[in-house]
Amino acid sequence: MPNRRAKARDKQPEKSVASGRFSDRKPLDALGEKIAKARGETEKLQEPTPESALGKGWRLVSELVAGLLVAGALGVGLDRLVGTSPLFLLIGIALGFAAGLLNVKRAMAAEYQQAGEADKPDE
Amino acid sequence: MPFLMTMLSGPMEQFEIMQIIPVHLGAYDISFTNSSLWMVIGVAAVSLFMFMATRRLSLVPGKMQSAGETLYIFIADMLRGAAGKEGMKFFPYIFTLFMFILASNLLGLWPSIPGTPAKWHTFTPTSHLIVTLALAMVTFTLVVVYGFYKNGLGFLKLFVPAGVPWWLMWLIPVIEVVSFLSRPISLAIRLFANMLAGHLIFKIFAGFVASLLAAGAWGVIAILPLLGNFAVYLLEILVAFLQAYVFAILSCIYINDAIHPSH
Repeated sequence: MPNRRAKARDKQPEKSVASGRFSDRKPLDALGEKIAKARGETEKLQEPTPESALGKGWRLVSELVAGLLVAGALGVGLDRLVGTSPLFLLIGIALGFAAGLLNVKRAMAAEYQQAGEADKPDE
Repeated sequence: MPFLMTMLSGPMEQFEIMQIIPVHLGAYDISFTNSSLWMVIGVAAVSLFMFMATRRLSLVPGKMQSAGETLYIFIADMLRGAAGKEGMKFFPYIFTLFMFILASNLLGLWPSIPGTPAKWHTFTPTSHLIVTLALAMVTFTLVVVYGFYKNGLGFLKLFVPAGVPWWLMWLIPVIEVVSFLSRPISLAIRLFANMLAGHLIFKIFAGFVASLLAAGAWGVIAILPLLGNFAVYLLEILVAFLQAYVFAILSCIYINDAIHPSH
């Protein structure tokens, strides 16, 4: 595909110049516009596919659960080591929930930032 | 996904690990299993693809070359966007990671060859938590080791976000540490759960088709779950790509933390 596109691009100016209907600058400008347009199209193709709502949900749930799991596991481990069950497990669950919420907040912040950048008009 | 043949077996059977070449090292079972086989096939597929893509390089790329170049640009842009120019030294790792996960996910969607024994059936290595956790731990170890190597103890600034009031300094770093430790877990769970759920849905819908067909005149409506399975299959191809992408871009973001530890 890019093969053919490249050829088409090369041909364009010759044609315009040969027809002689344009002044010196115009065919170049027209070509520039065409290239910019084609480039915009391919860049659009290369953008990552937007994540589905379900995918987003999965991601946030895994962030929340992972925080709880890690802190809970650390709590149980400390309890076993020190023999204070279930003291550290409870502290761990509280901390894990906080960390999970922090994870979710970070993930959403990144999301909004990305969405904000996508909405911005091209400079 | 073998939804045409083993439809009468349980939905969890497709995830069973089966030995192909039994190997025991002391007390450890390090057999070559169907999971290992499909990882090898994945690596071989990626190698073959990249070999084909770089075989006849030219200024005006052919089909294979432009496919390879598109992937290269895709990953390079992603990494540069997330971790800046310094992050580019991790390009080989991120590219390998992405291609391996993508190949594992996509190859697992192939139907099994009918009539072959169960251990040769199509298998998705990324539908096992231990595989995805191992991949996530590689990223995690890389971040920790490179973070300390590059920043020394300055890497610990990662756990002290700017603007925290002094009377919260005992709590916030602990939460940050837990949040940091939970990263590989959430990376691993996400990929594993997505692949597991997709393949389970296939098998359950396929089970509906089989039992409806066995129900005589009502067998006509077996077309509905079959169409459902078709739709889910298309969605799963997208999910296979998306999950590889999510895993790779989060790895990039975590690597960025190792390069620039201050929030």
